[in-house]
Amino acid sequence: MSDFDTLLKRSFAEAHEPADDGFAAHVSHVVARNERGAQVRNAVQSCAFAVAGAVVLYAFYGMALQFGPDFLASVGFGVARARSTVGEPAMDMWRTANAVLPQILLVTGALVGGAVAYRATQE
Amino acid sequence: MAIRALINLAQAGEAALIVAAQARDQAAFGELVKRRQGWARALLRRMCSNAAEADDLAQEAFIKAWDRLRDLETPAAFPGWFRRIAVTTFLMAKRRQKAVFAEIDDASPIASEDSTPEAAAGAKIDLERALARLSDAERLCVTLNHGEGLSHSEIVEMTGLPLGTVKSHVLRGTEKLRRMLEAA
Repeated sequence: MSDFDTLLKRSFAEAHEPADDGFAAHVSHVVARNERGAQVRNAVQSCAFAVAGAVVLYAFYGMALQFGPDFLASVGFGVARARSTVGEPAMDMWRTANAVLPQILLVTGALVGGAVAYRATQE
Repeated sequence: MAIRALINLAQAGEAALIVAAQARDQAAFGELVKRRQGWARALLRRMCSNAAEADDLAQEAFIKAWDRLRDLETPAAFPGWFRRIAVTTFLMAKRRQKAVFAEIDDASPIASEDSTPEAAAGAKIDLERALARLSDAERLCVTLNHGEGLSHSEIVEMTGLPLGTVKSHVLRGTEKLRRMLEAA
């Protein structure tokens, strides 16, 4: 290594380093702001997943209502025949279940979608 | 936060700060930035020759480092890992600017203005001014080679430049610095 290379390396080693002048504080501020932004994005993403999950479940429920009786009939289990074989209390329960099922599915979908989204954001 | 509770930031070693920062402790990362900012900004100032732009790039590099800290395998690898981020940030900025790698021809002396004959005996060059007269590519290669102690092949790996080009930039850049010093 030549004398000049040695001189150059020493000059690099001894060169002035800039003082902080709030640089670190500024970087910390930007990092904190970005983190807050990321948290908001995660929350929005979770909500979006939850709504999407609920919509998908509700769509499946609608399809089941539409095509379920035909399908059951095709496999030899007519809904009317089933109704005739069950008693009045059972029919009440069936009607109640029909009325609350969309809400149950919506809540379940929201919970499952939220849980999945939360898990995804933690990984 | 659990890790943070166990360490005193001001007295913590760099490795402890890095581990805490990897656990998303912003205060630990802030302390790490405080300790490393001088080195990082000096490195980028030498590569950029523009203090304001260098500080912007240093900030960008630290923010990228925060986002990617989980990729860092061991705290001991932090300096090399961060240097790579800084160099990549610099190169991306140059690409965005479509930098013209122009030669700068300035014949004014580069010895320290306050240097005395005694100081000249233990010669020390005004590094910032001297580097500012090199082309971007020469400045980058000379800084990484002489300043950061990287070999030619390490510079190739970091910058993506061909080996012959790196050798040429280091050689020509060093030679230019020598001529400028002799002219002084």
